[in-house]
Amino acid sequence: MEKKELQVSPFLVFFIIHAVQVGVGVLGFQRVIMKSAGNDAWMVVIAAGMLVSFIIWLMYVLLNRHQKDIVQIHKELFGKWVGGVISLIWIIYWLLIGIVTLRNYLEIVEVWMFPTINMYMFTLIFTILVYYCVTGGFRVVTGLSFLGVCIPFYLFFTFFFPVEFAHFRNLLPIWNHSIKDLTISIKDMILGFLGFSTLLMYYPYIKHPKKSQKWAQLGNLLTVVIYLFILIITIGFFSEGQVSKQIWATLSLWKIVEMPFVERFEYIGITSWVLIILPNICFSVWAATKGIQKIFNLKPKKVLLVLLSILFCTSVAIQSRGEIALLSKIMSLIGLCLVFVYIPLLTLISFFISKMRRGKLEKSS
Amino acid sequence: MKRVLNIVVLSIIMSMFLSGCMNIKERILDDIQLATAAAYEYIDEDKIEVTAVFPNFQPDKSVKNETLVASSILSKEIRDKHSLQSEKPLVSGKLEVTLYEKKTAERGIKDLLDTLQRDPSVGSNVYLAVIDGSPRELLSKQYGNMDNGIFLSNLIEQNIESGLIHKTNLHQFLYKYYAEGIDPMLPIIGRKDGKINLKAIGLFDNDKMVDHIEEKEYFYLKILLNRKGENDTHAIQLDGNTKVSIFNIRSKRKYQIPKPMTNNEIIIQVKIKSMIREYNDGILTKQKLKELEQAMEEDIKKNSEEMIKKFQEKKIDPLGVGEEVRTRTRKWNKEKWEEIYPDIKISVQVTMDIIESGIIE
Repeated sequence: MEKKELQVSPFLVFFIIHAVQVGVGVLGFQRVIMKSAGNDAWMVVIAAGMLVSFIIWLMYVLLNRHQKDIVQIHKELFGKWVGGVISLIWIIYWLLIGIVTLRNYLEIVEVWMFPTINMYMFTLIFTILVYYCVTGGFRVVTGLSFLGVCIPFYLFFTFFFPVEFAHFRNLLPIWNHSIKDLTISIKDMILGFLGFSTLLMYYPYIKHPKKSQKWAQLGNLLTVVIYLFILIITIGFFSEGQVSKQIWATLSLWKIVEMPFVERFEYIGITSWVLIILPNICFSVWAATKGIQKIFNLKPKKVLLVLLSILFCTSVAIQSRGEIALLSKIMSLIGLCLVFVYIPLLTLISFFISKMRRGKLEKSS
Repeated sequence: MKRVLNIVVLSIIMSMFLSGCMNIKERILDDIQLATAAAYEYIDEDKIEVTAVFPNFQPDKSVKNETLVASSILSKEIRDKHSLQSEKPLVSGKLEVTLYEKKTAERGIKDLLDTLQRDPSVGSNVYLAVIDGSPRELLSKQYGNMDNGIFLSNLIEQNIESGLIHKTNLHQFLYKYYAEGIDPMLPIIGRKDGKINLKAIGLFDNDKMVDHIEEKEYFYLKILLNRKGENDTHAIQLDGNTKVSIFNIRSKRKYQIPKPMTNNEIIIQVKIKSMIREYNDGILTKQKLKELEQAMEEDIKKNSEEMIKKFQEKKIDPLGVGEEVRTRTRKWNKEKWEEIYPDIKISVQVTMDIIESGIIE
């Protein structure tokens, strides 16, 4: 457990979990999940949310037993070397989340707003901003996620504009797709929820961490509600053939918004989205920094500088949409394995090892 | 000392960011030409001619309509050619209306839609319309104290809001174009005695215009198209000299499809609550109101069934009967539906309620 003054109140976990889950994924998840699940995609969102909720519960089971972050748990269970290597995989994964989020966002800015934008400059500004936030420590990053949830919330009201043109009959008939189709979609949908695994790293920074599970689950619920809301409007507003053409269906929804003082709402929307992206990147970078610092006992500022230069170089080096898609795919594959295979496994291992050790202790006494 | 250094470094970095390092192209409103309308016409097999309309603001606050005409193989290519004729670069961010010449619409506008979908600066609120006549001629005339893009956009918008024509814009066209079981429609604009008017509604089969309906049938189309309707107006003449015009306060449309995806009858129920706007045959008694209601019901039933027959013969489905069937069946099969659609008996049941008759008896 960390020092009292470094910790945050348990209810803030609500904002952290939600802020880390909602990122660029919201802007374009519809096409991917509707490819196989069609108009039943809303069920997929609920199912994926339930799965994630279960994993969050598992994480709390694990963390509550150890009262440590995952790097220390690895050290305790697997020793210094093996544990260190596994922790390193997690750290790479978190850093990847940061890179993928940043790069995807940059692509949106490039395609939708400024095709000729200087990527180096823009990425550099973003990296400096992330550096500034992360050096502020965990409490600053948490505050950022609070603002990142509250301030852009008004954006969700703008999604009522498309309702005027929506054909909600498109939601019918329910159960039009096979379980197999839905399962494939669930796999794709879960990408939209990834990132919550940083909980494994910031658990010791929560006051009365056992009480915070309720808030974590609620944060996840809010994510599900937002995804569901946007998806239902998308299904009504677009026909299926039309969605399959929209790379960023959520942004395309904004194309219909017309207000007396603004002709195109996407520009405001995309710019506001920075506030949603920033805590997202900050958290993944923070978790990666903290992890490396714990494994190697290095100074956090130096670690952060190295990580941010990796972040900068990778996002600048990736050029085309194909490469971005490939990186996202790799990231999601690692994420799926780590979150849905490794975490349950680790919980089981931790359970047996602690039982064995207790057994030994009793024998020797 | 360190603080001073910090400030110096910061200000250098800041000025770097603020100056043009971001390489964002500035677009100052006074230095660009906002195209408000674009009209497309195929001039041969693969060359298109585009007439672009933009406003020219005069010193005395009036607006002059100006057009540019150029032809090439692709629409964005033509925009560059337009710019070659213009003092300022032409941009498409304020596009209000796109028009398609009638023969072009009959040939298919699929290829011409890509530029509107792909370009993030074009909104979904753009109106699409078919032009009867030469776009170059029609657009070069001045019709009001505004450019023709805004004029046409106001013309269409006004008529949608007052309920004379169905809701239409780029998004709706694309929705129906991509959806299975519904076909798009677009208003047809023509010139009559030097004025522009919405003369008909063009019916599309996918992206090709195959037919149109005349102005007197707008009412039937509108009450059958939307689940809920209002504002529509209709007039009939009974045998003898009785004429009546009504105003639809609210109407509800409901489909009854007992056995979807079969040849069984499909019933469209329409309930209309209306108000009399004009009546020429003396005092309205209860008896007469009943007669009027009945006459209206018969008229709507007869004409709308005829209209649907016509749609079925042309194998088009602008009313979205297919969509209603699709959302009611689990085994939706587009090919099979298209096969059975022309032979299905579709009947219309109308219940007309005249609930008000104006402020005189």
